[in-house]
Amino acid sequence: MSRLNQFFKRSLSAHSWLGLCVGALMYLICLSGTLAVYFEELERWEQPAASEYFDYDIDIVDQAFNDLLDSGKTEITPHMYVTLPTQGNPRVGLITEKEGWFIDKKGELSSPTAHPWTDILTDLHVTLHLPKTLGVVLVSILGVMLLALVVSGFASHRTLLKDAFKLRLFGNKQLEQTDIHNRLSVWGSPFYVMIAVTGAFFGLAMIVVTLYATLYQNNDVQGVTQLVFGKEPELNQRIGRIELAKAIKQMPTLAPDSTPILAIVHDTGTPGQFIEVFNQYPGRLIYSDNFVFDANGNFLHRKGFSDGDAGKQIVYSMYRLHFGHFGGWWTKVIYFLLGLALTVVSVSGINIWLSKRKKRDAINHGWVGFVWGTPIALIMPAIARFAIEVTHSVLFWLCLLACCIYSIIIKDEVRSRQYLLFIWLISSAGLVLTYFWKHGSYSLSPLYMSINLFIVFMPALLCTVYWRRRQNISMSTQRKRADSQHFIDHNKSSLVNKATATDKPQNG
Amino acid sequence: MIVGWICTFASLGLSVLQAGTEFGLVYGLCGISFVAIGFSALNHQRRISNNKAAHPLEPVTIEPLRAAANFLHFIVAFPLAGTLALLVSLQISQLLYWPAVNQLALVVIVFPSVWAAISYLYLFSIHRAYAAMLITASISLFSTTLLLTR
Repeated sequence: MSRLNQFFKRSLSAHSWLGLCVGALMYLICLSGTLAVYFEELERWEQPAASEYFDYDIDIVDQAFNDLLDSGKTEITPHMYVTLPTQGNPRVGLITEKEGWFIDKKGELSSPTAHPWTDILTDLHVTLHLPKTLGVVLVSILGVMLLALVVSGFASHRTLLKDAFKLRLFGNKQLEQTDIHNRLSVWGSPFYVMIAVTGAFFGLAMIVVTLYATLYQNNDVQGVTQLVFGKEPELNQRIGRIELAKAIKQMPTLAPDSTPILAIVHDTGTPGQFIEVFNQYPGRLIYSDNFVFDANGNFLHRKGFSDGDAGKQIVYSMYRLHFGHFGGWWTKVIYFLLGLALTVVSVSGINIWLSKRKKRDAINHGWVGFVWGTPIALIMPAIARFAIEVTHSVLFWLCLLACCIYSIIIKDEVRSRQYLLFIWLISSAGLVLTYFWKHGSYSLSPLYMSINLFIVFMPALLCTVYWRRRQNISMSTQRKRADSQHFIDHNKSSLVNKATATDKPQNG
Repeated sequence: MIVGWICTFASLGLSVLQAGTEFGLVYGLCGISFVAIGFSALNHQRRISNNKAAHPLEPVTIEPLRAAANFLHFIVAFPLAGTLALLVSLQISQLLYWPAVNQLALVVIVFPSVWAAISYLYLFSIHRAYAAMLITASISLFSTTLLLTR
């Protein structure tokens, strides 16, 4: 074997090994991440009754916030949040570290800010429902593995240029899966690298900071963190009213082209309390630049994310770059579609391995249950959330387990895929009906209507494609049978003719 | 092919001009993916299904030694590769004499990529035990260098 062939073969082996190690988890993370691009819209969909408006009066918000602090209705936590309307989420919320409420235009508290199903979805993406630190680090390591998969994938692609635009569908299953896998992975790789690097950042940054502090800053982890996120002011004020409105009213002068999206009151209820206002800049990837005020609304300093050191700007751009929350609705569409492509790549990679094995066992069946069971497992907690107002991530895992067991018991990949698709369609319809029953007229608003339609449209589309494909396969099988029958008949008749032709002279 | 690549880079440049450096680069890169995947979809070939009969069903075979070896790769070699990658990234950042915040940003971006590259090279090697030893030796070397030069 030539050296080049050996290189490709060993790279492919490394790629397969890595892919098999992480394929299933990668599928969960990619699918949930794809949906999580729209987490703001999903949060709104979960709570359609909350009032939505862009033209808020900051004095009313300020009054509502201070009333909440004085009312004793909620426990005052060190960090208190005031979320302001954005394009993705046009609502005003007053939130503590434990609970929160939306407020209407008059400043009255309305529904609580609870979106348990969206939390299940985003937690699946961020932590795989594991304890927070462990989960974030594990998911970030999977980001590293995605990078390794991209590198090894390129290195193992023998016909990268020759096959750059080939997509051979419906024929040999292994060839079809390989073409889908290779085309989507090669052409989507710039996006996948970006997602992997930014995803790895969230969990691994703390490890980097700790080591950096140990080596160069005498173990001062907080000092290193402050290099990026700036110092907190040391204040000693009389505890009184939080002058939120006064602070936000200064923003047009301090940052003329930006929009305030969030305000956090730090160390609430202590003499050191201060306000931090997050302002978003048009045309910039940074999440915001932050302006710090004392509790009386006097401007103290700016964090400098918009024009500080390049490193500061890069680190503060990671969030929006990872989730696609910039530039308007079509950025989300691009992220959604490319995220879906990465999900397909994760599944097709395992499919290729399964079809190369030349044998069939419970892993084949379990994999079908896992892939087609995940959407069902995501829908079930949503149904529970709307039907009985209670939901939990355990329900997701139980449903997923049930789908895998069902698929293994049935022992027929085609049938179990068919049934799981059908169950997905039925449960989606069930979810939409439950939503209509629960939220009545709110369901008719364009956004919620589109989300509901999408929920039913996806499985319906896949069912149709699947059904048509089964028909094509059965038709081509029938055609093949007919052709071979015709061939046999034709041969038989020509043999008979030959026989009669050779018999004739003998008889004659 | 040359014309194709020129068009690709031109589209990237135009998207930067249109949407600014930050958004334009992201749009340009995503745009290239979209156009290429679109071309592949347009170029698809419908083939007649020739799926052979399914293989007979077999029980799952587990090879304990092989499984243990694979687990060891994962649990030992991958963190080792991560440690080496972190040390290499820190060393690179120290060679640049940038402000501390820029050095940190460089490390958080470079570290996952170096980790991925080392993991791939480890899996690529035929003699994985030697590769693991080489990684361990490199960790000692880099950590000593970092401690001596800090």
